[in-house]
Amino acid sequence: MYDKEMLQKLYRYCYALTCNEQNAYDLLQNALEKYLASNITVDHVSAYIKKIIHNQFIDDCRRQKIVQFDDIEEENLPADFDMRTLESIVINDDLAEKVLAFLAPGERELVYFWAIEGYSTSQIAEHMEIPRGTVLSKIYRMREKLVKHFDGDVRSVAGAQL
Amino acid sequence: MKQKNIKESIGEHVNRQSLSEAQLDRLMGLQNNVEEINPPNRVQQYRLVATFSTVIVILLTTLYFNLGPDQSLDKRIGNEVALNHIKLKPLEIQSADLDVLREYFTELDFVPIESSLIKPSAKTLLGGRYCSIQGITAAQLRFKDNQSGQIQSLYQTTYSPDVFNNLPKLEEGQQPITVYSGGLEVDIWVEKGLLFALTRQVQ
Repeated sequence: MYDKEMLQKLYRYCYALTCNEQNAYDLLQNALEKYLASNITVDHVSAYIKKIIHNQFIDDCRRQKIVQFDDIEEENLPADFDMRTLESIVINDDLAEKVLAFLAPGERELVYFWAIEGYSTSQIAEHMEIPRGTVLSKIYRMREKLVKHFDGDVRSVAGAQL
Repeated sequence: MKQKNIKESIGEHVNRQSLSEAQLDRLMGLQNNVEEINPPNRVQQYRLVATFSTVIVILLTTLYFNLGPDQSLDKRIGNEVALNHIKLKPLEIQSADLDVLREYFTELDFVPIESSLIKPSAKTLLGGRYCSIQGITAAQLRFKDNQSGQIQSLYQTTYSPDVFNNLPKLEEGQQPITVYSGGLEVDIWVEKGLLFALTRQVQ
């Protein structure tokens, strides 16, 4: 079963996905209801519920026809690109919410694993069940989008220029 | 403007989000309900079956001796509406503009309207979703009461005399009927050819 601390963490995961407090609560409640209705015993409850949340969120996106971005191929990435180039980005202090909202749903989940859970590229790939190269391509695309869209409010202070 | 590492900035923003105590209690309550419904051992399972059977017998007996179909209609609607509201299912469309919601509800055979009993200035429309009342497709509009902050649901569906007979009609000078279910008050009335049901927390 779950406790309040676990609920808060799961809620933050839902928030990172939806970028909306009410939607995050709805998503969490639905996932908990599904978990409880399944009446099964699992070793890692939090991970199991997170999986339900992930699947539910994808279903919701499909139903609401939220378009996902297309992945670029791994071989199209610059040779010197890695996770550190994303970490070199700085943003205005009050811009976190807008940056999160600007990202596509799949990108927000990636950011959650990276910024909140502190996962490595390989761990993100494992959790999102996608190839490591796809994770890198998403990061690359995300960095491009952010710097371009937010102009001087989001900028890279090190690494390759776009 | 002060700038910060994106990882740190987004991490701090997300970590500031938290469930309120009321939300936590509600979600913890889901778990408690299931623990009651799914007891872990056989003795508790027998107890559950016995309790369930007793409830069914009482229910059927009550229906047989006391309640005719017309008398129980408001209660059935109240129960259905209250249960639906408590679950607070995700909104399919979010907007404070009723016209936007009207455009969304294309599968209804009526147009969602404002009720004369609800002051537009007193509540903020949050959005809506499809639902049903007694098997008839309905619109569920969700509001936030501006004074109390309560979340309320207003259900609207076509008034069918065959299904919803003997419910109070505003145009005939009658007042809404109030039923209680799941700790909520549910006001039910007929207005402008539509059946309305509005949930409210018991004061």
